[in-house]
Amino acid sequence: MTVVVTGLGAVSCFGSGTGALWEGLLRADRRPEPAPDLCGLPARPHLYAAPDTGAPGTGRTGALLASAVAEAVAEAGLTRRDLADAGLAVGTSLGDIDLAERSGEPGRSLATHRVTASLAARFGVGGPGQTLSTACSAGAYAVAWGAELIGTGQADVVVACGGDAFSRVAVGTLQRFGLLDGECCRPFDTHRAGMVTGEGAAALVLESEESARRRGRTAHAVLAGHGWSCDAHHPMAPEPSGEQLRRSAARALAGLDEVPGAAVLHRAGVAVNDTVEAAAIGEAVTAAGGSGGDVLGYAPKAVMGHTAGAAGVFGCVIAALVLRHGLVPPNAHVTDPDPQCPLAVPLDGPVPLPRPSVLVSGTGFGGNNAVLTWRAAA
Amino acid sequence: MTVLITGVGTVAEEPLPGTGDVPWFDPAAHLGRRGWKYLTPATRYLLAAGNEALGRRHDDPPLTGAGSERFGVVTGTQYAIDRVHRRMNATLTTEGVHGISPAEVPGFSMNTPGSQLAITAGARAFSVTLTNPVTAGLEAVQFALTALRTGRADTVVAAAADQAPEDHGGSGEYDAAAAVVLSARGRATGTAGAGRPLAAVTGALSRFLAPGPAGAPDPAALAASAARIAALPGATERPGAADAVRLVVVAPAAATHLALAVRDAVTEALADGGSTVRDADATVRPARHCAVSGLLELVALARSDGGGPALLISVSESGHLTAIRIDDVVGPEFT
Repeated sequence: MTVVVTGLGAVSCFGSGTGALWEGLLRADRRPEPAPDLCGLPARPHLYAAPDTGAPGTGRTGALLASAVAEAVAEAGLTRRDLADAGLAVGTSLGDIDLAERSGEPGRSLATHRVTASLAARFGVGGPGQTLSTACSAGAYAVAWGAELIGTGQADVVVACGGDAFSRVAVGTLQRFGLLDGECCRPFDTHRAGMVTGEGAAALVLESEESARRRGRTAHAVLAGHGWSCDAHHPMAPEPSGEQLRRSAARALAGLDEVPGAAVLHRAGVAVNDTVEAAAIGEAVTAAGGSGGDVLGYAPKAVMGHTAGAAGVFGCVIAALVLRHGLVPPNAHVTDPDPQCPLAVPLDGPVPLPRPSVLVSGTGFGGNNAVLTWRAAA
Repeated sequence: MTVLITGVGTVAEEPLPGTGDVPWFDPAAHLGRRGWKYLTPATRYLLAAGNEALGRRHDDPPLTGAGSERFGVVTGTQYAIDRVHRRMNATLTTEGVHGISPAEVPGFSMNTPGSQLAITAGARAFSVTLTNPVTAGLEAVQFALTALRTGRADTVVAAAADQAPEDHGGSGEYDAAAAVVLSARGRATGTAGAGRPLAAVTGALSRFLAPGPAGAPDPAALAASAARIAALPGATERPGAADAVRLVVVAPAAATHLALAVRDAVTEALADGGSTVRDADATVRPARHCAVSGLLELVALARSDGGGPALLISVSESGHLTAIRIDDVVGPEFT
């Protein structure tokens, strides 16, 4: 069954809305700010912070998600009646972790992972509702699970979204493991030194092509394929050969009848992970009859940070925007380009998308890989 | 396609008055003397239950090769990181970053128990972690069934693990893990699992019922959800078999009201479809083991040999509900 996208939503460090997101990506100059807390460090670490949206939610992540979902649902023209049997797939790593990090207050709450229930109640989404927490690939899995729900007839419409917000413990522990770059996120620079966390939420309305036609909605993008795999190698580090990531990319590429024009990479500035990912995608493209140099590699985390459970959904929203505008934004914060990347890397300005298809990859702790491919709607 | 439960495993802390500070779980008995020191309790429980369900010893080598790429893990949990997170948050605000041991860092990610099970058993099709409170355990079964049907794996361990926020039931909740091995009949090869199938999983679904102003769900939404649950397919291959369904609803105390409403609505919907419920007045069973509760009930139902069709529903106070329908395994001539 063909699954299409009929609505997009986002809240990021660029502000509310997919318009602000696209503008910020094209400008390609955003740098992080000091985080609101020391996180156990001598100086405040960096954060690509999202603005308060004022949306009601259980906690900060819930509020960001509520804004993104409201935008996507409005764009798709869905009524509460349409949503009564719709599905909801939410990717989040830590949920409303702010509720559990109120320092010195007796009000520490354990209700960190009620974001899905809160969204379902707020928007009247009465069908299957799952929270997926596969670490940093949670968003990619949320979109993939949404497609599975539609493909197996468990829902005609699924709101797939992802969100994560600032967490003292996430930043502190990533620092303890040496995974944070003290300057900014610069995934394509040879001198990259780690990731920088970001806040945000993104949402997609997925529906069967038949449902979109019945409702008279225009599709933004069509899901061409998605592949899943697990490294089963290490709780935090990727398996160095990238064999399983390559396998999931191959499965996603099998749904396309061309080499994708661009790849929105997971690439977060952690050198080992970046290298494994680019090699795996490059090899999968080669195996599909193309060459890595035919694909424009793009790493949005340079200007919006690593948004954890939201990242994979952001990747898919950005893929839809790339298809809509026919442009790939420039990669930011690159002084000395990484010579090991087999993909083409646009640096100086937006580049026309050579073919109307985009690959999105998501990887996470535990070696949880998901790769999706999108093509332009006919 | 027929999906069979080919193995089950559980470890669960039971409320036993007077046990004081005696630990209920002995990791060495399940996991050997080494290798688990830096794993969180929920991870240790999950490995114990997962190994039992898969019929493997803790030191058996993980699956490799093509079989491992057709073998997945899906884990439900709601408190996997709670204790670690609480400790790290306190450490960061008092001692700073250097108070944290790198060895405990993986414990702050919700997927770590499931990822460790995937590493231990060699599951490369996928390892997904679901985190809705209460219902995540049965959602793992729904996820596994869906993934088997879409061909993403041939065998999936659907599991759940939680360490309750307080020791010895102090929060009204207890520690546990449970795992069921689900296999697509005729497709699964090479992956462990017990020998004889225990039951067939014939249907699964999740719904959300928003609590209304007085706490009760909208009657029309409740009836619509109940109708869908009652319509979950059974083993229709058995023509003429008596269709008396065991109905089990499991919910935490705070969701009892909603659970009773769901039980009554599903009983009515089953009657409308010509089915009867055995034990129509069955009380709602207490969900005392966090997100593992529903899976523990599923294991109990699967173990009751020849019990006939059963419908198990997990209900959370937020309004999530997940239903699983199982049946006896019927002969291969019916596949």
